Amino acid sequence: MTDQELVRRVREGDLAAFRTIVDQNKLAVFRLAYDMTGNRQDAEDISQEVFVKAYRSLERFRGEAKLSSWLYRITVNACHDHHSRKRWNAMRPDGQMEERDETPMFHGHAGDDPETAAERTMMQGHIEAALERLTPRERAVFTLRHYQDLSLREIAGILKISEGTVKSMLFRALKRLQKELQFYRKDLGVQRP
Amino acid sequence: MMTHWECEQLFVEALYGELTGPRRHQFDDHLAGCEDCRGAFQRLAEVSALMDHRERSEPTAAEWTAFWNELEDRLTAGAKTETPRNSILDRLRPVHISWAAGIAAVVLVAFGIVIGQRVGVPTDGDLGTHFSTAEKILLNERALNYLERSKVLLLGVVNGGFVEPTSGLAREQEISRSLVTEAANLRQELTAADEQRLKQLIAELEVILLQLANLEQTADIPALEIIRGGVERQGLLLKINLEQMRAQAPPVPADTARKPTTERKPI
Ligand SMILES: [Zn+2]
Repeated sequence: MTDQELVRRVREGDLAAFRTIVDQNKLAVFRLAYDMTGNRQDAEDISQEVFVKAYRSLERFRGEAKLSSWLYRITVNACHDHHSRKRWNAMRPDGQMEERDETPMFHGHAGDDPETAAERTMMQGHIEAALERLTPRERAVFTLRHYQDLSLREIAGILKISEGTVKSMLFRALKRLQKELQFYRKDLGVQRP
Repeated sequence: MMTHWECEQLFVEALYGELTGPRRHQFDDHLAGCEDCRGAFQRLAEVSALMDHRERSEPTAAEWTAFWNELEDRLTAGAKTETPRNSILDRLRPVHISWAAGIAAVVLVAFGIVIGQRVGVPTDGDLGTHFSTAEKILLNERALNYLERSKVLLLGVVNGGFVEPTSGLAREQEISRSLVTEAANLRQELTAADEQRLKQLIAELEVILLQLANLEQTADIPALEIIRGGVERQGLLLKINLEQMRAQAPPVPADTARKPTTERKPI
């Protein structure tokens, strides 16, 4: 069934059709939210928001873009909203920001020897910390290209910015990650699989 | 023959497999003959490979079923019973639109300004009369920190607050007062010629923050609307964003063969 057909059915009140939309897109939405926030619980909450929002504003979906792109866009906005709200909640009455330690906990895989598990945990922590250093917009662009494997053109369409802007933001994001992770070099055995 | 700068402009596309045809050949030719660009591209590829090692845990099938059940409950609970989570999402919408609308104005402002000039790094002969470099960097860090906190506050206000409406504006006002005090200090200390744009922005913010601090405690909705309007009309949030981006811009590379990063288009 095409996106248009599914959307038409949902508009007619067919909840099963909406479930199909959710099933087809939930993993992508969840992953994007996870990559944007670095937190699984937040990602689940945001995914709920995204689908509630999508359901209620489906009449605004005109079919000019892919349904998945439209959902990505809602997800990015929901993540920005989430970020602002978190910052606001972390603000003390004297206007200072509370220091938050949100470095996620990672656990080694079953079968890892303790040393490997520890290294793995440390590397995950460093990667998350580096991602935290990106601005929300840089993080959105990086995540959409690197983890969601969307083309620069698709990202431009989703974020409604020019392809050139996507490129320069992605370049900036990569340079920042490079700076944050400069102590990892090739000699540590990091190679593209 | 491709220049270093032109080559660097293609790094992102090349890295993600979006560079094809003759441009790819030109790119490869340049890399083959240029150690600098080859090294720079290699380092970018390394960090990209490192990011591939990121792991994330995903919901199990049972958790996805629970996810749908919760979603279904929310969808069928009726469109009238708006959840707080969703109302926050809805409130954010006008802000996105107004930010977009404000872009034109701010881009004009940006064109008149040297983009990429690092707020924290003084230029030769342009130091304040009595500030050492270290003091100046500290001052600029304070200023940037102030901008960030003002942004968080203004986002909260413009979006109707992220807290329960019953608590009124007490928290927003208390924070405003603290920030106004800081703004006054910063304005006195920002004296150098290259700090005047920052100082101006801080002064604009101060007016808005003062208005907010002085609102009558009894949910003064019309006055609050005026403040929101002021934030949007002046594009304050966008100006803060721009100022933060300037501070983040990488320093101009020493290699004069490269086109300076300061000439890149602003976002
Ligand atoms: Zn070169």
